Amino acid sequence: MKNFIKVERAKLNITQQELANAVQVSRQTINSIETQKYVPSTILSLKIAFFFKVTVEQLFELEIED
Amino acid sequence: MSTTIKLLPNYFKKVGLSLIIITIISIVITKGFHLDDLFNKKILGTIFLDLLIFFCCMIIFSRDKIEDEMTILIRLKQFAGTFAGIVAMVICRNIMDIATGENPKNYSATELILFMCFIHLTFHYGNLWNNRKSNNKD
Repeated sequence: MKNFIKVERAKLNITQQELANAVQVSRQTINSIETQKYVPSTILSLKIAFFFKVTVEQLFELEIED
Repeated sequence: MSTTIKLLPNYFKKVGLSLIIITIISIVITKGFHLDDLFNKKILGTIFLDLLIFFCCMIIFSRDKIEDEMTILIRLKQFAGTFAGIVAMVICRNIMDIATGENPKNYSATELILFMCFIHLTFHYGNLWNNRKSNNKD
C-alpha cells in the first residue's frame, strides 16, 4: 500500500520522531510505514490522517498487488 | 478496541535478566563445590530449570521501552516462529536419531519450554535489532 506520509511530513517540516510522538508510536514504526515495510492499523491510519488534517484516502493508496 | 496487549512493566526485563544471571551463578557454584551432593540432584536440577523458565518468561512477557502495534506484530510473529522452530527441532532430532541408528530421545516438557524461551528471546532481540538497524539506514 502506497502512502504519502513522507510528503505530508515534508509539507509540515516535521521529523519522523515528532510524528511518532504525536501519534504515540515509535520512530521505527513511522519509518517502517513510510518505507512500506509495515501496513498500519485502522486506528493508527486515522490518527496519522487526523494529525495531517487529511483523509485516510488522501494519505494511503491501494496498489495493484493489494 | 485496544491495539495493545497487557504485559509486565519494562523493568521486569532487568529483574528477569538479573535473576537469570544469579541462577546461573548458583548452578555453577552448586556444581563447582559439589553442593548438589547434599541435596537430591534431580530435585535441585528441576528447581534450577523451573527458575530459569520462570525468569525467561518474565523477560518475554514484559513490555519493550516503546510498545506499539508494530512491536506487538513482531512479538506475535516470534511466538509463531518459536513454535514452528521447536516442532522442526524435535522432528529433525528424531529423524537424525533414527538415521544414525540410535533410539529416538524424548525431550521432557521442561527442556522443551526452556528451549522455546531461549529461541524466542534470541529471535525477538535479533529481529528488533535488525529492524532498528535497517530503519536507521533508511
